[in-house]
Amino acid sequence: MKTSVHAFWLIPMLFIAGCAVVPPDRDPADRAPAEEREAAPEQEADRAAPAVVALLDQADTASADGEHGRAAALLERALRIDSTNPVLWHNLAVVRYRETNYAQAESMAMRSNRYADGRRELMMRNWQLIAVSRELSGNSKGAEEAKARAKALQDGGGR
Amino acid sequence: MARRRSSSSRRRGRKAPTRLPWRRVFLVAGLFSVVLLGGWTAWLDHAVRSQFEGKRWSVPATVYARPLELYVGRPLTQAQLREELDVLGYRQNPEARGSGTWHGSGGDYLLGTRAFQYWDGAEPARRIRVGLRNARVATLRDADRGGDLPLVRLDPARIGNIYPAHREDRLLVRLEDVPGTLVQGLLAVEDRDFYSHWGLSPTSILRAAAANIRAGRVVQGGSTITQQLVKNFYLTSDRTLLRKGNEAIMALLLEWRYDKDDILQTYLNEVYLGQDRERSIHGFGLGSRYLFGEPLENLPLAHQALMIAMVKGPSYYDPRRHPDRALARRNLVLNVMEETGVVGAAAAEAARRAPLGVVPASSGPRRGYPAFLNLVQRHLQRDYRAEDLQTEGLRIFTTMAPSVQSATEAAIARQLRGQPKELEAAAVMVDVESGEVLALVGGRDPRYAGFNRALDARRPIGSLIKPSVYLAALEDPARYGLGTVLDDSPLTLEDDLRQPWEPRNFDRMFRGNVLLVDALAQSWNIPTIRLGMDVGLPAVRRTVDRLGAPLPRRVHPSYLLGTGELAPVDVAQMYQTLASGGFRTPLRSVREVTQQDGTPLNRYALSTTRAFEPGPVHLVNAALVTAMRQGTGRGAYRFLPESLMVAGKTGTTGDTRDSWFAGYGADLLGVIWLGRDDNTATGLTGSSGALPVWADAMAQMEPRSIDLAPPDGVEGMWVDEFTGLLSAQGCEGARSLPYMAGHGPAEATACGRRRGGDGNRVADWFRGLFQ
Repeated sequence: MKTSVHAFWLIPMLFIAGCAVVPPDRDPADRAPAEEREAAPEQEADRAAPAVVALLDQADTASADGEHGRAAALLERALRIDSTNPVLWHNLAVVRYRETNYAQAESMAMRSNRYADGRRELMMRNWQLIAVSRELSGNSKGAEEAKARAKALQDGGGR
Repeated sequence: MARRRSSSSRRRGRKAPTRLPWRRVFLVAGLFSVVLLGGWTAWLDHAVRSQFEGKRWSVPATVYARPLELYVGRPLTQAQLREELDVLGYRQNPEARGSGTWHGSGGDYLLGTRAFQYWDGAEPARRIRVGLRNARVATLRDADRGGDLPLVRLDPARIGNIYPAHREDRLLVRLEDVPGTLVQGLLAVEDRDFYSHWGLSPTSILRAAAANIRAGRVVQGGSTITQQLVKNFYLTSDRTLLRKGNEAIMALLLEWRYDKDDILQTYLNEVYLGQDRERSIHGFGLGSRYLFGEPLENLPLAHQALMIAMVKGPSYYDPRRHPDRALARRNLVLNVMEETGVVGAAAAEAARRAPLGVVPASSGPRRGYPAFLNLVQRHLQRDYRAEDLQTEGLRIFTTMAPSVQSATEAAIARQLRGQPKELEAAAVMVDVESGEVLALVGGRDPRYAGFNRALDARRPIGSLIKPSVYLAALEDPARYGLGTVLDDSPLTLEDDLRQPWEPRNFDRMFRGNVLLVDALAQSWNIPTIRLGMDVGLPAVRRTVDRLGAPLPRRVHPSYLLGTGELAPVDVAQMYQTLASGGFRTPLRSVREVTQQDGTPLNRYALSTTRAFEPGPVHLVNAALVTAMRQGTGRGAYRFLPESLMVAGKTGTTGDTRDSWFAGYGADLLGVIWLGRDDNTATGLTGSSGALPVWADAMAQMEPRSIDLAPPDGVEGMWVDEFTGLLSAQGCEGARSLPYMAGHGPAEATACGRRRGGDGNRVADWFRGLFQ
């Protein structure tokens, strides 16, 4: 159970770590999240139902194996259980990103932000993901805006 | 055949001139016969191959409901659980022994689940304990091993098939998955020499002939399994000699072309076992489901013997209609199985003592869901040909939730009781975040597979259009807020035909100045038209488009009052975008399609577009919550608990031809339409007709309350309820409303100026709704 709780918080980091590797010409700010690893804040354990944790674990494994379709399906199952969980939306955004579906990566990250409820770390990662996705789909102006949002969250201080 | 040909050559021989040598006549006739026979055989060979290759895989697609996921905290009432188990065809059993069984008392349930191979993983069969408390799953344990289970996914209920015209049905099994005793018993009874003969069995023909002569009539067939299979390839069942001859040749050809196991497996899937209304039951796989509600793999011996018994005459030995005959023949089969050593004496004796064990008829798809299946077929049209759906044995995993479907059907039946039979209904229920269609009702009789009003009845939507008018306005916060004063005084416009048009409010009154929030909540027409004309018809049109609804070719001012025609499913799409805070998610009815062995073909992933900023959508939702609390939707609270926050809108069209309601909680959206197919008056408004249906259905499903906490960029303010000026807490006529940050009223009332410290102004706008 303890490891599951840790996994719950680490998964978004791992997902982001994966995605930050892909784009070749990012500036260092984009890669930064990969190097950050925070301990799991205790309230995360309270927020996530065991069912959601179990599905998150499976989705993590599937994603690590490159089975994006399966990972996405497992995250969608988890979202049917807990549709306002911003971590699930974030991870789904990362899966879409890995599938090179940048439009959906952006939308899912936006939905994650809708429920982020002041969690700056997560919101920052979402904006970073949005920035990268926009840039890769040719929207460099939008990417700049997203980058500025991410930076503002970063400068405003993390948790 | 050979006999006939030789007799014809004899005839020809007699007529031939005597000068011709006999030998030549024989030679020509013989050659002719060989060529004819050869050609005929080649043709039969072609027929055998095409039938065998083609027909053995002609299986209609199976359509499944969404599986029920159990986990601690899941909202689930006892009634809902029982409904789901009923649709699944689970049977009551005090110990829940065996798969597909349940037992429940109080809130404690014991379930024997069925194993199921999902494409993203396997669910084992297991016994679980489910504790339901306060309409939620409170505990979930493994009944045999103990210990909490995080998540259990039941097998999905079969809700239908996509049939070709002749409606044959099968559930394909592989030979290795069929119980050994069933196969051996079948061969012992029907064809003992199967593994040694070449398609025909002279010994069994002789045996049958002897038996028939003794009885003086046909009591026994000497047909081998191969011959029986060939017989099934023909659609006629005449007993002419020619057909017998063809059958024999085809049986030999079949044996020559294919190996024994292939033939046996095809037979197991082809054999006819009964008729379920217009659906014919083929193969032991489906037969097992149809007769016992159980998969073939773990069928007890007595049930296996009964199915073997039925092969001889599925209607004569129908265990539901002729239980005595069926029992006698089943025990006869058990005797044969014992004599031939297929089973031991003790097992045979135990099976002979067992009851027939058939479940009530049609335990396959328990009920018809024609409207939903119709939607599924339309969604799949983009990717699959109708023929593939009918013959490829695909498995279609849909989004339908049986308990939501039945609650919706029940609400329609209850609320329309006493109404004339011409009053029709349609309903669409959608999961807000995923856009999954949970239930669809296409008419007042939900079993009737006719006109699907949920998809095809395009009707004027009346006031359901209004939220898009207000959303178009509220996207421009510099000009409009919920406290903006609108003019509700007489107005004259030109209609589509350039005639003067004087729109009226439903109650024919004029109120002078009204607040924007109330104009929407009370559904006043005149201020809505003024607002729409002010914002501009093109802006309203664009908003409707972004919400996801189809547009008319041209838009007139009357469009602002809902003259545009939409089907209920289009309305659901439009309101889904509002309900999810501006994220438009195309409605889906299918999650995955797999081949029969579970290999995935298509996954229909969740996709979403942010169509609107969260702020303006929140303001519209706030007004629609007000509509439910204080406006046209108040009547819903005759059904719903006071604490439940929902948003919704009524719609009524001219002369009460259409009665609409669209509304939602945080997770569930429902659209209801009532009207008549001949488009005459119903005497029902949105509030008196569709609203009670919606509220009744919602009350059974208990959605989550809408989250009224303002998103980023929205803040509560105190506003004067008459003038819309900035006020403050404690001032007379002060009312709290959400505003886009920085766009509150510029001017303040005298009291507002006096008391208006910043702390006083920001308010939880929705607190007033609870008063």
